[in-house]
Amino acid sequence: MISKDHFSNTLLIIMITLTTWAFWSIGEHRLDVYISMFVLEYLIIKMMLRPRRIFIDILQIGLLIIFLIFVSIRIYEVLIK
Amino acid sequence: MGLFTYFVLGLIPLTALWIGLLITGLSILLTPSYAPKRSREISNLMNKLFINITLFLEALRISSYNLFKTHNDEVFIYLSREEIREIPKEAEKQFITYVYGAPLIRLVSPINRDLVKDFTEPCVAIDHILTEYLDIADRVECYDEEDKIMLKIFRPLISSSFKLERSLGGLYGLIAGSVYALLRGDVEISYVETSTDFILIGMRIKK
Repeated sequence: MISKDHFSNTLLIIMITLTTWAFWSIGEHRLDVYISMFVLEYLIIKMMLRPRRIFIDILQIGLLIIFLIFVSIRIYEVLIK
Repeated sequence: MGLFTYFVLGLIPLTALWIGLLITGLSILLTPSYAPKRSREISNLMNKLFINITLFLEALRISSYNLFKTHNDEVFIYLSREEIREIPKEAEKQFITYVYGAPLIRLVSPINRDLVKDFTEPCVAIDHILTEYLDIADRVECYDEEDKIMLKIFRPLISSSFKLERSLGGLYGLIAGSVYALLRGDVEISYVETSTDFILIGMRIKK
């Protein structure tokens, strides 16, 4: 039986591939949209399956910071218009 | 293949896909390929402790019946070779008593009220203790039917001796029985099945 740790990695790659295909098929050409979606998928999988990590999840922290930067840029763009 | 995907997908989706692969790669890199350190330490500690308990139970030929009972905020595990119908008053204070000639052992469970104070559902509490607090299993599924309970613990990381599994369900049975005793009342572990992928524990709530 596959462990939840390995299952979460498998699910992540499937979701990332499907997201890329879905956004490509609708003609999305903003890189931050793709990455933001990947970050959300990672966080959802982390919350739902709670996979183990060697030590603290630095990837989660890094992705969250990247996500916050993208959101901040979008908010800034809306405000200055 | 690279040129084909570049011309079919375009630069941005292809870059995004590579970033996605990088995220997955990092996630795989951060995934431990062995049992967590704390689990291994607990496993070694518990195994040594269990060897002593197993030898003691073997000496007294106790391996058949058990009862998890709550006194105040503590859980006591009573073990006997005869079916435990009731607990004599003196057995609540003594480590060993004789009921109709058969020894009745009283062990104190390491699980107490403090560990389950935030829970009302035993299954959720067991899942929390095994997966979050001790990190010694992947997940827990419970099946209730009147007074019968069946617990399936997926990917257990700690193994117990056969004798201890028969008497009180091993470490997982000890935790499950204690939690049910605290949240539901007196409980008896009647069935344990061990496999490499899961442990099946059958319990019965005593009226």
